[in-house]
Order: sequence, then structure tokens, then C-alpha cells
Amino acid sequence: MKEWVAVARVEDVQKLLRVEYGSQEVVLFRLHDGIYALRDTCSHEYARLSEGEVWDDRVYCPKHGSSFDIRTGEVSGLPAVLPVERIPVKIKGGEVYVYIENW
Amino acid sequence: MSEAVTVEIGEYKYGFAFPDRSVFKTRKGLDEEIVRTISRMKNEPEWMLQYRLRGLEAFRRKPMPNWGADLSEINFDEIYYYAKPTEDRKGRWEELPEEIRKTYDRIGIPEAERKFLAGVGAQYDSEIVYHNIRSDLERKGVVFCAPEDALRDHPELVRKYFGTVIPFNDNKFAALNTAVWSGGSFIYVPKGVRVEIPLQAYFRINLESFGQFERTLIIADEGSFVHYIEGCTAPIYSRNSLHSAVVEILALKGARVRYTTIQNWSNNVYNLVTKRAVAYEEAVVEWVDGNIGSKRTMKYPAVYLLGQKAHGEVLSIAFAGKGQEQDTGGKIVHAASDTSSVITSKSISKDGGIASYRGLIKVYPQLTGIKSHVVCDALLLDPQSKTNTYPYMEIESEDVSMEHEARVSRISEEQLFYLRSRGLSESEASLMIVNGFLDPLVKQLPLEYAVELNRLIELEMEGSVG
Amino acid sequence: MDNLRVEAEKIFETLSWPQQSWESWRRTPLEKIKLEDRFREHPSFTNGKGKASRTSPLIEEGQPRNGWALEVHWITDSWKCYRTEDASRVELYDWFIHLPEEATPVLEKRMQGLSDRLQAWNLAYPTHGLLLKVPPHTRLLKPILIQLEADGNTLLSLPHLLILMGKDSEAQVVVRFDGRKTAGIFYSGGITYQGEENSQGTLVVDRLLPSEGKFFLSFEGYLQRDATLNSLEVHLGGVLSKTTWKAILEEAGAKADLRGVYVATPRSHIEMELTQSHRSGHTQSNSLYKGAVASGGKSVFQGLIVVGKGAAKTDAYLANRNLLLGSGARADSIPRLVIGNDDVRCTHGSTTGRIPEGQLFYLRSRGLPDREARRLLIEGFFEEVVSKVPEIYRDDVVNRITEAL
Repeated sequence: MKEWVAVARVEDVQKLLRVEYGSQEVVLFRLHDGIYALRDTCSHEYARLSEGEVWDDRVYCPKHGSSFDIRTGEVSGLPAVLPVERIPVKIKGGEVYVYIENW
Repeated sequence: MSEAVTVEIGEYKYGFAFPDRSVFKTRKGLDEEIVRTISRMKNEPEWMLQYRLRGLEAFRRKPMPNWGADLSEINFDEIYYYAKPTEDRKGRWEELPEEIRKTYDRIGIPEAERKFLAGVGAQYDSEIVYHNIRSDLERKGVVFCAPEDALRDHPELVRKYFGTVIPFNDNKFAALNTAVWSGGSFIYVPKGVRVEIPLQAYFRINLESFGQFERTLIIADEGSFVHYIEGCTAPIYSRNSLHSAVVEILALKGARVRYTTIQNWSNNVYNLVTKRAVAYEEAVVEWVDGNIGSKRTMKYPAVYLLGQKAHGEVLSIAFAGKGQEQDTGGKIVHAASDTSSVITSKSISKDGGIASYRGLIKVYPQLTGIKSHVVCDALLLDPQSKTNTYPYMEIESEDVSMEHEARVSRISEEQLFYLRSRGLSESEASLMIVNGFLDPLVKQLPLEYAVELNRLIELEMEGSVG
Repeated sequence: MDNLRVEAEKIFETLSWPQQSWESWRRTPLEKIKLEDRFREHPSFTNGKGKASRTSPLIEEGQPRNGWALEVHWITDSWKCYRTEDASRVELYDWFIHLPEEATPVLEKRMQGLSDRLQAWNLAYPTHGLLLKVPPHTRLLKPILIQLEADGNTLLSLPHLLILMGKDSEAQVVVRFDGRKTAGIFYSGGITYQGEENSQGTLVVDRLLPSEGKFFLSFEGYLQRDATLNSLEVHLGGVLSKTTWKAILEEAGAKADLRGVYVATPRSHIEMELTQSHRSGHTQSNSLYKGAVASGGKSVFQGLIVVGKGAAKTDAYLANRNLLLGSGARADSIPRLVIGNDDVRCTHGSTTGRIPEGQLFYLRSRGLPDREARRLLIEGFFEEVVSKVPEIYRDDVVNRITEAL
């Protein structure tokens, strides 16, 4: 069951921020045009994207450099070939909400 | 009873070094200042400098691999990471400094060029010093130049693809290359253009303890074809040399790229290379990888099959003689349906040399029509030599036909007996058998390389001539 | 037993629990098993909280069921055995009561080869220890069954079974771990086998797990001059199962025929690590592991043929065959060779694919419904490995394979 869950305050999200809700792991990004979210697991070898680097609106996995478009989760560079799940975000009352499983 | 086949390694034909005539050389070791110097000397755009610095940071952070050949003797602080040998690019053969011309005379470039090769980007201590592109290629719109030139003349192309196949922190040595890369080849083949003549380049390490970090990027646009040949030699040194190249290939829809390497570094060189290609819909990439020299080689050419009906092949020959470790293989990732792959690996170990095959076939989920075939053959020439085979197969789709076989053998008594009874000496007979073993692969090489390879094997197998 | 156990405890202390970063554990969902926690939950013997000795000896009770030469059962808290006249010379020892001297060198050899705490656990803190000895020149016509049945209460089972085959002996042994009564049971077992000169042993290991049951087993077999071992591991279902099976051919003439059957049902994770280690020349090993993986299941087969420097005239063969039964099935196959001598014949092969369309079509054109046709083909696929199972046990295995599918 998915639902909107508040995971952080807007000001807490600087460049990137990892948040956990139950067993869900999400990474929030602040780009010039808003806050975006992706599943915090690289589709290549399961490392945490939140421990990687952000350049030019892309996130680079710390393990082998797989890169993903932050807005869509699509692969922008190998060795990953599968996209990372894009998580819907909404801002309400200074809180960042993400649409994820509630467990 | 078997007799050990006693053969001697021939005199290393290219074993010579010229006095160092480098015009500019950074100090030993690696830090941010050196990376900035390299970038400044090449007049690079800011984004490339920043990318190099990210590579440097990743290189420092990443650990050495805890698998593969023995790399414990590499001392990163003792290496010179950049040297520029002449003032600028030379357009004509006659204008090259005499020493460099002499070097290439011995290797045979003039004959090769005189024959029918399209163009040669030659490397002497990190910079392209001799460069020539044939006019008809230019007319077709084929770009074949140094990566530094591509950065200046085709920045949008470079920026679009550079680092997308092998990112800055893919592994420790790719990170190093990202920081200090210099020279290599940049090739762009426009849509539908077929380059019938193989494009070649020769590399050379001259300066003692000098690392070679060429960066090659090949982009074959839709429906195009190109064959690139890389072959290298290096003089013998007292200190170790490090060769850590990165090769990225993109074969767009319907394109075909073949990349052939005959590696013959002298026996003090560490050859740690990252080579990877992506093949889109109906594209074909073939790696032909011959590893004869070096002290340690770790190289696993890879093809990522990202589009339907793409095909990837790796043909690998490795020769591990005394004191050598060849740790090679291939990697194919099936990420689209109806893709196929073939890996053929043949290795020979002699005088205690170690030849290892390391490979991966990975099939992602929910794909159909996948075919893969891997064959690894190893020949051991004496009881001291070793071979290892480490194939990994990770299959996550059901409609797959995957086969893998590996065989280890030695020259059989019967074969030897038969050939000797026909009048061949023991070493002639051994050579013949070894050539027979390699033949299916050698057949894939263009003639002059087949000849060079045969000559190299002969040198390795027999005593010195004359 | 206590001296041995103390020695094993010391070795246990020096080893560590398996790590995800280790090559052989890379594909195992280690986060599901929290080994250190389980270790702490259960009392160690040095604390004096565990059972340091048993009072009731091995009970001898009448005849085994038809077809078996000897049955040895552990139920609740004692060993009971049922034997025929043929098996009268077979010796059985409960370690907790008495462990004969001759076991010591073999177990010490075993302790040299321990690679991690999981393997050392059942030697340092065993819950069960059994020695089965087939004396020299004893040949059994019918097979032996050793069955360890869970009691419904104890979650942690750390058994170690030692099998000693004397010179010129012959026996078939089926070892069965039945954990169905205890939901969430966790096994970390060990089997050590020594085949003396010219002995012929057949060993089948099978386990029945409840849902959520976890099974770890490490086997090491030492084959001396002209000794033969035929073995078969049976892995049908189970949420997490990982075995290490190592055959060490120590002397010339030794032969090992190692087989495996596995069916990874949905949610199953089955891993097998097989090593054929040729320490001496003139030895032979042959392995064939065949498995079927259903959608949502995962199997990992890691094979290794090691030929030592002095092992000339080794003949070794390894084969892994995987049948994928649905999208979402995953089979990893990693057959490796480490060869240090040139006068050898070593090959390995691995194939992975699905039920060949052609064969399926043929059977369906003969009127068989799809399900039947598939079942028949899968049974045919497993036939050559299952044929090694002693006849009396074979149907059981075949039925359970069919059930699992």
C-alpha cells in the first residue's frame, strides 16, 4: 500500500538527503527547480546513491559510477542498465512528502 | 615419459630505449597540482578539468582490487604521470625528431603506412607526435584524431559521450586514467559510412617509470563500420611502468565496430586496462585481444548489449611466459532481448607463467531470445606453469540458451611424436602445435597482424635467431 | 570429545562470521540471518549452560524397515538404532558419550580446513555428534539411514557426522535432516568422511525444511588410495540453503563422483559450493549438478576444480546444468578451474536454459497436456543424477521433486 508520507522538512534538503521510512530507503535531491526523490538503491549493485555525487542534475553511484537522471531515474551512464525508481514528491506546509509503501 | 619442452624466450626485439628528450615532464607522483598542470598544458575547457579532479578524488578513495593478478609492487609515488616530448604535432613523417623516426622504423610503421593503412596516430610519451589522416576519410566525415584535438574541434560530441561508458569511479585504474589521461584516439564515423581500411595506432613508453594513460573514444553512428587496431611495444626498464588505458566504444543502431589489440609490452610493465563497449539495436561489437607481453595484465573487454538483436564477441589470446601473469577474459551483459554473445579465450602458459580467464555473462530479467556461448581453452607447456578459469554466469531470464566450456590440456606425446617423426625438431613441433592451437583466433586478424603475432609467438617459443 | 571441542573452540575464536564482501558469500542474503545474534541466543558449553554430556547411550532397538541394513534415528533427545545381521559389525558412537581415538586425526585434519565460524560452529559447540564406522573388509548390501529429526522446540541444530570407511569396505549411507516440526529451524551442520584404501562409499544428503527453515552444511571428504566416493546432495525448496561440498583426493587411484539435484521453488535461495581438490596425481573426479529454478527462485552453483602442483595425470570434469522454469527465475553458475600441473585432463561445462521447445512440442503432439509434458521432461532431466540414489530411497526423492515443481 502506497501513501504520502512526510519524511523531512524542506530546509533539511540541501544537495541530497537520505531518508528512511520503515524499510523504505529514499534519497531526496534539491535541484534548481525543486525537490526530487529516487529509490536509494543503485540498480547495478545495490549501493546507496545517497553516498554518491551529484553533478549536472545527475546522481553518480559511489560504487562504480553508474549515473541516473535525478528527475526521471533513467540511466545516463553505465554500468547500470536498469533505471532507478522515481518517487513522487510534494511539498506541503514546509514538509517534503513522498509517495511510497507504508512498511 | 614426458620431457619438458625446453624452449628459450627469444631476445626481445624491441628492447631498446632512447635518451629522454621530453620537453616537459611533471615531477614524480600525483596530486591536484599535477592534474591541473596537465589540463592547463592541453588548454582544456573547465568541465574537463573538473572531471579530471573528480577522477583524482575517486582514485585516492578507491581500494586496490583484492582479486586478479599480483599488483603489490606498484608504487604510485614513483611514477611520472605526464611528459610532453615535442613542441607540437608533426604533420609529416620527415619532420619528426630523428630518434622517434628511428623507433618507428624499427617497428615498421613506414612500410605499414606505405602499404595501405588509412592513418596512424602515434604516441611518444603521452602526446600525439605524428598524425596523418587520409583525405578520403576526411571527405566522408570520419574523424580520427587525438582526444585533445577532439575536445577542441568536436566538443559537443566529446561532452555527450565521454565517461558515459566508463565513468570516473568505475574502478581504481579508470579513476586514475580519468585524472591523468593524455593521448589515445578519438574516432567518429558518421551514419552509414564504412571505413574499409583498419585505423591503427602505435604506442610507446620511453621514459623510465613512466605511466601511459591513453584515453580512446570511438563513436560509430548508425549503420557505420570501423575496425581499429591497437598494437604496442615498450623498451625494457629497470623500474616498473604502469599502463592504465581506458577505451570506450559506442556502436549505435546497426553499426559494427571491431577493436583489435596486440599487446606486447616488455616484461616490467603493469597493463591494467578498462575497455567497454555499448551496442544498441542490431549493432555488433567485436573485441580481438592478444596479450603477449607485460609483467601483469588485467583486462576484460566488455560489451553491454543494450538494444535488441545486438551481438557482442570477445576473442582473447594470452601468452604467459616466465614471470608473467595474464589475467584476461571478457564480459558480456545482455540487457535487451534477442541478443547473442560469444567469448572465445585461448591461453598458453610456459616457464611458470600464469594465465587466468575471468569472465562474466549476465542476463537481466524479463528478456527473451538470449544466446550465449563461451569457450575457454588453456594449454600448459610444462609442469611449472599454471592456468585458472573463473567464469561467472548470472542468468535472470528464462528464455536463454547459455553454454560454457573450458578445457585444460598440454601438448600431447602423440602429437609431438608424430611431428618429430616427420623431421621437425622438438621446438619446431611445439611451435606448430601452439600455432594450431591459436589458429582459429589468428584467422580473425588482418594479415599483417597475423604475421606479427606469429612472429611474436615464435620469438617466445624459440631461442634467439642467428 | 572434550579436548577436540576445546581445540575447535579456539579455532572458532580466530575465525569470523561470513561477510557479504567475501567472494563465496557475495550472493547470499546474509542480512536475513544475523549470525552473531543466533550465537549469543544459544548457550555455549564453556559457560556450562549447555549439555556437556548425555546420560543415555545409543539405544539398540530391533530391526530396521525392509530394505535398510541399518537405521539410526535421533528423535527428541537420544539416538536409536535398528540393525540387521548384515550391519552387525558397523560401529556407532555418540560423541557426547564416547569418541574413539581414531576419530581424532580425521577431525583434526577437518579443523585445518575450516574457513569461517559457520563451519567451525558445529565442531566447537555441537548439538549432536555421531561417528559411523564401517570396519575394514565389511561390505553392506543394503543401505544405512541416518536421520536427524527436529523436536519442535530447539531452533538451533549444530550436528556433526563423522563417517569412517575402513580399508576395502563398502556401504551406502543416506543422511536426512528432517526439520519440519520446528518452524524457523536453523541448521549449521558438518559431515566429515574418510575413505581408506579401496573403500567404496555412497553418500546421499537430503533435508526437509519447514517454511522459513534455514540450512547450512559443510562437507569434507578425504579419499585415500583407490578409494571411491559417490555422493549426491538433494536440495528441494527451502527459503535459504547453502552447502559447501569438498572432495579431497589425497592419494593415487582415488575417485569421486559428485552429484547434486536442486529445485529452487518460488522464494527459495539455494547455494552450493563444490570443490574437487586433487592433491595427488592419478586421481579422478567427475561432477554433475542439475537444477530447476522456478519463477521467483534463485540458485547459485559455485564449482572449483583445483589441481595441485604434483598432481599429474589428474582427470577432472565438472558440469552444471540449469533449467529455468519461468520468467523471474535466476540461476548463477560459476564453475572454476585452478590448475597447477600440465599433465592433466580437466574440463568443465555449464548450460542454462529452459525446457527445449522442440521436445515439448513433440510430447504435446503425442497427446500429452502441457503440464504432463513438462513434468515428464523435467523428470528426464533429473534422471541421470537421481539414478545414483539407493533404490529404496529413490521414489521418495523423485516424488518430492515432482511435488516441488
